[in-house]
Amino acid sequence: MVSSPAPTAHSPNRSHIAAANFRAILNALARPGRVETAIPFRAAPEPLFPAAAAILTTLVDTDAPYWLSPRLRTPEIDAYARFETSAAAAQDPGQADFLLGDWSEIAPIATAGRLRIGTAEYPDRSATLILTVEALAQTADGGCTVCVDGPGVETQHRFQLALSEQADAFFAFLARNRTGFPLGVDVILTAHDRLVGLPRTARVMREA
Amino acid sequence: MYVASKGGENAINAAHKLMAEARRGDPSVAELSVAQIREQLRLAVARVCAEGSLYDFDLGALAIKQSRGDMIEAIFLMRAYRATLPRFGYTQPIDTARMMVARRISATFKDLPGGQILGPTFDYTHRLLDFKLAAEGGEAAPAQTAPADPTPPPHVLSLLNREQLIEPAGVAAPEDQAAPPDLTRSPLELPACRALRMQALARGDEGFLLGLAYSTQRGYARNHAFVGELRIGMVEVEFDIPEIGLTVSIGEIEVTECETVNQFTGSKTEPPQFTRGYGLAFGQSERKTLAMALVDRALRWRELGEDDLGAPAQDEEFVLSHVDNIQASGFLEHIKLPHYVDFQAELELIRTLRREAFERRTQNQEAAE
Amino acid sequence: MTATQQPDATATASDSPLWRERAVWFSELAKADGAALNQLWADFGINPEHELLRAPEIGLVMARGRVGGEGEAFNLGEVSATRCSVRLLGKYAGVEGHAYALGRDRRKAKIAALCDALMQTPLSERVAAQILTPLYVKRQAADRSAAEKAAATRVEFFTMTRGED
Repeated sequence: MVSSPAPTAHSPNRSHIAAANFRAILNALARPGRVETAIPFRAAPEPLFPAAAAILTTLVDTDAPYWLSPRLRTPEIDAYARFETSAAAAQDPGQADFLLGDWSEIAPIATAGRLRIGTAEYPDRSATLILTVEALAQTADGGCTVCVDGPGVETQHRFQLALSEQADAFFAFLARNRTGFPLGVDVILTAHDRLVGLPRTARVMREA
Repeated sequence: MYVASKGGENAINAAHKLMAEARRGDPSVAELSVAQIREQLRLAVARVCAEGSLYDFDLGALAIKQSRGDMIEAIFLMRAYRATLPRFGYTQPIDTARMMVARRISATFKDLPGGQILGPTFDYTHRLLDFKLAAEGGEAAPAQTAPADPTPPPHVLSLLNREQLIEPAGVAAPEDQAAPPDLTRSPLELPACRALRMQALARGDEGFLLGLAYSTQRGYARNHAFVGELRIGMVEVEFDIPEIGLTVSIGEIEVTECETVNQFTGSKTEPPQFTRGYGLAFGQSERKTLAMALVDRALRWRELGEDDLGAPAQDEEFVLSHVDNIQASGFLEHIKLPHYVDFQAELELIRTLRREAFERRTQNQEAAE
Repeated sequence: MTATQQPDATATASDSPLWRERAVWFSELAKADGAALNQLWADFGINPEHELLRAPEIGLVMARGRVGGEGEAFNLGEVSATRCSVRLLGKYAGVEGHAYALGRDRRKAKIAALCDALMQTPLSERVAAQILTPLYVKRQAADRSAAEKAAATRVEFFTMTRGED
């Protein structure tokens, strides 16, 4: 009986990878708009990106519920996530600390006001969106150029973002998200092994 | 105010070396092994595990050895160690009705199903120092045996419950209800639900609970407690194994459970009925769980429609804020660390006030002359 | 592998489970005395080729209780635990074994995970007979001994009858 998909063996220096990934996520959120690279622990089943898998493994455990979008809810990803986090994915996105998926899948949840945005006493009790985009690059690499400033940014950080579906709505959402500070959600964009942090403090502008 | 100051390193290093030597004591006396502490100072280890909120008798024994028997220091070591470990998850609630009992007594009924099992108890000893233990090499006589009943004895209070003479044991939460609050994950919020109070009391200081429980017996919110049942023994720990999707017993732990039967005269809505207090802790922790049950009962005054008598044991904020001996000793003992700058400010203030007072007195004297 | 015929003595304890359900063998391995399991594993003599999916890892589980034994759940305190996951290579490649056990015995967790994997292979009967059943018998004996010692401390009340005549 084979109970879960075939992951490759864990690297012996798992804790070093975890530390490096934690640093990458920390940097991404401290320096919004800078492209960081995650190190995969072990091959994640498609279509879960290595960067999203690394964030899941590094930050999620039984005390931090996560939610997988319908597209990511394959038996292989389910088993992978269950093994790495020791927890099953939450059914209710409104309960989740971490939501993984495409913007087009998470947008309706955001529109319905069901994302956790924290409370006045505990603004940290809010969700982090781990969004799948088509590409991320620090330099011109196709897609639109995004310009970020705010805390953690000395002048400006610019990166290339390829997001084909509902891009306008996404930027409108980010702008709205910023106005509710200190409440709101934090966003991490992922593409393959790359990630970009857009915390609620970031001012995000799209250049024509 | 804290200002970094240097110059203590050599003294601190020397003090730690001296402490290590003092811990070892006279080297001509054999050194204690951790296994000896675990086996022979078992109740001390149980207390360190209960209040350290970490069940691991080997670690508890090591902590006692390292702390030279200072229990709160040992508990501190356990709390610090547990903070370094990942949490795999939450167990299914332990089922104390299926406990393999080593001890089970009731002060309310003489004859009861399963009987009174005294177990390894200090009760009925004469509290006379036993100098035979001071002599070296005393092997204990083997314990007696008798045929055992394979079925675990039922909870005594369930017998009263059958006739509805006592309130139910609490509100059984349906499976899908929100998880109980966890003090180790989110800050204490008041008013606390009973589940949160239970967690705080279970890891709370035995001495503090003993004092509070005693105060209720002496009349500060008296709640007329009888020990309905006290049981000590091993219970299974069942855990949902995410990798295989099954709930499995992954081992056993020793716990002590105490249920008290308390007087209750009824209210406008409730007919007279006995009420309950509950205590549960890791290891053989009899005094602790008994005290816990009395304090639990005292804290329930609002829910049972009783009067607030202003007693300390009824004051949830007072009890829950002061029951943790690591919080308490941390704040208490930090005042022995250097406060040179604070004190300089105080000193300056006192000098100024004295100078002013002195000047006023001189002026008054001059005016009088 | 050259399996010598095992004596029957270890194979049958009359009340031993049949070891058909994974939860039952998983739990027996979890409750095993570490030294005993280590010895039985050495005597078993087959160390299957495997890779570690999760090297033995020490952590905690939060134990819960219920108010009054059956009321609302609460967090009692944490218990040390160790887990390990393996996947067999070679002949039974792909079979996964997992282990969770209270305590901090890494070696025990790894052997338990290997046994869990082998229980899903044609070697299961040998694992059951040579490892699981002896563990069960040993544990039962220890439990029975403890229960009999406790039973000896049971109070046998006798009532003095007052003379009425």
